[in-house]
Amino acid sequence: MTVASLAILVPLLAAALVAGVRTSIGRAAGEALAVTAAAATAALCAVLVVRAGGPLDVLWLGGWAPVDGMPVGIALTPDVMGGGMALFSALLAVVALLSSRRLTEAADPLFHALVLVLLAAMVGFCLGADLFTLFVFFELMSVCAYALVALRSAEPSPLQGGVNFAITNSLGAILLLFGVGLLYGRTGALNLARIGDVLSAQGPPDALVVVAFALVAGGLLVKAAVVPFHFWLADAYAAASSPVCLLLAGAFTELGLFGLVRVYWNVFAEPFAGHEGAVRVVFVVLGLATALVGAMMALEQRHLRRMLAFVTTSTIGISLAAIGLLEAHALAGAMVWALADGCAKAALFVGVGALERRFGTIDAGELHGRGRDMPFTGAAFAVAGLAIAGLPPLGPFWGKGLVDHGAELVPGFAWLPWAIAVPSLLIGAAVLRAGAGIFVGIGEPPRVDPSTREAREEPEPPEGRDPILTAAALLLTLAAVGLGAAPGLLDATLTAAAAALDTEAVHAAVLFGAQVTPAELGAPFPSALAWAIGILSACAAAVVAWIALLGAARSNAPAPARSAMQAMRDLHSGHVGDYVLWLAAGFVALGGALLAGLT
Amino acid sequence: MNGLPYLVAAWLLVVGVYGMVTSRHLVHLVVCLTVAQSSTYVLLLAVGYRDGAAAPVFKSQPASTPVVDPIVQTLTLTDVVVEATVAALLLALTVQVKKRFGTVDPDELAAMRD
Repeated sequence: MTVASLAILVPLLAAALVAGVRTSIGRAAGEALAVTAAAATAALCAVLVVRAGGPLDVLWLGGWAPVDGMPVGIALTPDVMGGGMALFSALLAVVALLSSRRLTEAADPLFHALVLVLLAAMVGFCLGADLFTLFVFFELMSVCAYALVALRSAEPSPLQGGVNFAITNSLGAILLLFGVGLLYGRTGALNLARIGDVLSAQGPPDALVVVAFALVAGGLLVKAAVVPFHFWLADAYAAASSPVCLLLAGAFTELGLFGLVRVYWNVFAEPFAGHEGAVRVVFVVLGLATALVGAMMALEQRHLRRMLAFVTTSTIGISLAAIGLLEAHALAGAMVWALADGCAKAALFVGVGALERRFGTIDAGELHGRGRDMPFTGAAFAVAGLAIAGLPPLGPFWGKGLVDHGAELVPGFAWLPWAIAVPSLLIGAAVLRAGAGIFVGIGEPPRVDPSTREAREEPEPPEGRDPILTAAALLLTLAAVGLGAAPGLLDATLTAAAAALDTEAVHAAVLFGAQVTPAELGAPFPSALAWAIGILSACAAAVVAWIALLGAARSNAPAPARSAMQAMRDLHSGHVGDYVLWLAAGFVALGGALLAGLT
Repeated sequence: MNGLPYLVAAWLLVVGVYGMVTSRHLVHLVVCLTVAQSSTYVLLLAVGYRDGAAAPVFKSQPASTPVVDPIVQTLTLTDVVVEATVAALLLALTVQVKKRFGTVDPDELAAMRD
C-alpha cells in the first residue's frame, strides 16, 4: 500500500525538481516534466480507485497502526470516493498544465511547480483520515491557489482577487482549526473515526460539540464558497488565468464539500443520530440559497470568467443541497454531478481562454458576434450549457436523476428536484445566452458601460484560431456528455457513496483493521419525473436565454425585481472588509441554527 | 487552570476579525489576520495544559512524570509554519500592489479592477 503515499510524494517531489531546474532546462522541458508527473499521479490514483473496490485498505504511515482501537499514527484511507476525487483532480491538473502555454501570457516557470504542489495537496486532502492532516493539506492547497490566482500581478484584478481569496480563506481555516482544537480538547483524538467513537460514547451532543461542528463545517464551506462565504470566489476566478480556473472550479472548490462529507459521516453522524432533520434543513437551505444567488448573479455578468465563477457557485449549491439530504443515492448523485459538470465547466473555461487568446478580451459585449467562425468552440458552449441545465441524457442529468431518487426516499423532500431545477436552468441559460451572442450574434450586444470602457486598453489584433484549444474544449464537453454512458460508473459511484456513509464499517476498518467488502449496489434508472424535469428545465433554459438576449427582461422587469438585483450586485462589492464581516456573520448564523436544531 | 486562556483565545479571534473588517491598509489587514490566527495557538496550548506538569521531555525526568500534552504543541508549531507562509505570501502581494498601483488601501485596489 505504498501507492497512496506515492500519489502524494510524486507531484510534491516533481514540483521541487521543476522549481529547482527551471532556469537550466527551459520552459518546454519543465512543462514536459510537470505533465509527466501529473499524469503519473493520475495513474497512481487510478490504481487506488481500482484497488478500493475491495475492503478499505488503511495505510498507517510509518507502521503506527492502532492498538486496541487507539490510534496514535497518521492514517490514509484511499476509498473509492477519495481516490476518485484525487484522480479527477490529477486529470484536470494534466489539462491545466497542457493548456497553460497557450492560455497564460505570463510565461512564469513557477506556474508548473505551483500546480504540482496544489495537486499533491489535493490528493493528500482526498486521502487523509485525521483532522490535522486534512487541515495541513487544506492550507497547502489554499496557499498554492492564492499564489496561482495572483500570478498575473501586472494587473489590479488578480492582485485584488488574490488578496480577497487569501484573507477570507485563511480566516475560514483559522475557524476550522479552532473547531479542531475544541474537538481534540473534548476527545483527545485527531483521527476522524476515533473522534466519532469517543463523541458517540459521550451521549447526545452538547453545545461544545455542536459549536465545534459549526466551526469545522463552516471552514470547509468557505472553501466551497457557499453563501454567505462565497464572495471571494468571483473576484478570484474572474482574475485568474483559464487553466488555473478550470483546476480550481473543477476540483478545488468541490473538495470543500468532499471534506464536509468525510468529516460529517466519519465524526458527527453517530453523535448526531436522531437529529438528522435539523442538519438536513440547514444544509439544504444553505445549498439552495447558494444555487439561487449564484445563478442570478451569473445571468447578470458580461465578463465571461466572472459569469463562469458564479456558475461554479451555483453548481456547488446544488451539490450541497443534494449532500444535505444525508442519503446515499443523493450523495452519489452529487458526485456524478460534480464530475460531469466539472468537465463541462472546464470545457467552458478552455473556450473562454481561446476567446481571450484570440481577441484579447472576454467581455461578452465586445465579443458579440465575433466568434461566428469558431463553430466548434460555439458547439462546446451550447452543449455544455444544455448539459448544465440538465438535458437528458447528457452527463449531469444522470447525477440529477440519482439526486431525485434520493429526494423521494427522504420524507418531506420530494419537492427538492423542482427546487434544484430552477438554478440549474438559470445557469444553463446564462451559458447559452453568452454562447448565442458570441458565436451566432443573436440579439443586441449588451450595452457597454463607459466607465469600464475607458479603463480597458484597445483590443489586441485577433490571432488565428487555435485547433488544440478547440480540441480540448470539445474533448472536455464530450467527457461531460458521455459520463452517464460510461459502463458501471453510476453503480460504482452509488456503491462508493453507500460505503462512505457506512460509519460503523469505516470505523471498524480504520480502528480495528476489519476487512469489510462493501456490498455492490445497482443505480436505479432515472424516473419519468426526472426525465420530465430535465427536458423541461433545458427548454426553459433556452427560453430564458432567448428572452435575455432580446434584452426584454431588463427593461420590462418590475421595479422591485430591478432594485433587488441592484442590491445583490452591490453586495458583491469587492471590499474585503465586507467579505470578512459576512463570513463572521455566516459563522454565527450557522452555529446558531445548528445549536437551535441539535441541542 | 481556569477558563482565562479560553477567554483570551476568543478575545484574540474577535479583535482580529474586527480589525480585518475595519482595515484600510493591507499591512494592517495582514497583521489583523495573524492576531486572529494567534487565537488558535492559545486555544491549542490551553487544551493541552495540565496544572503542575512538566515539559514533555523525558531525557532528564522519569517516564512517569506528568507532562503537558506534546501533540497540541506540535500542532501549534505546524500551524505557526503554515500561517507564516500565508502571511509572507500576503505581504509579498502587498509589496506588488504598492509597487504597481501606488496604494495599500484594499478599497482603492478594488475600485481599480476592470
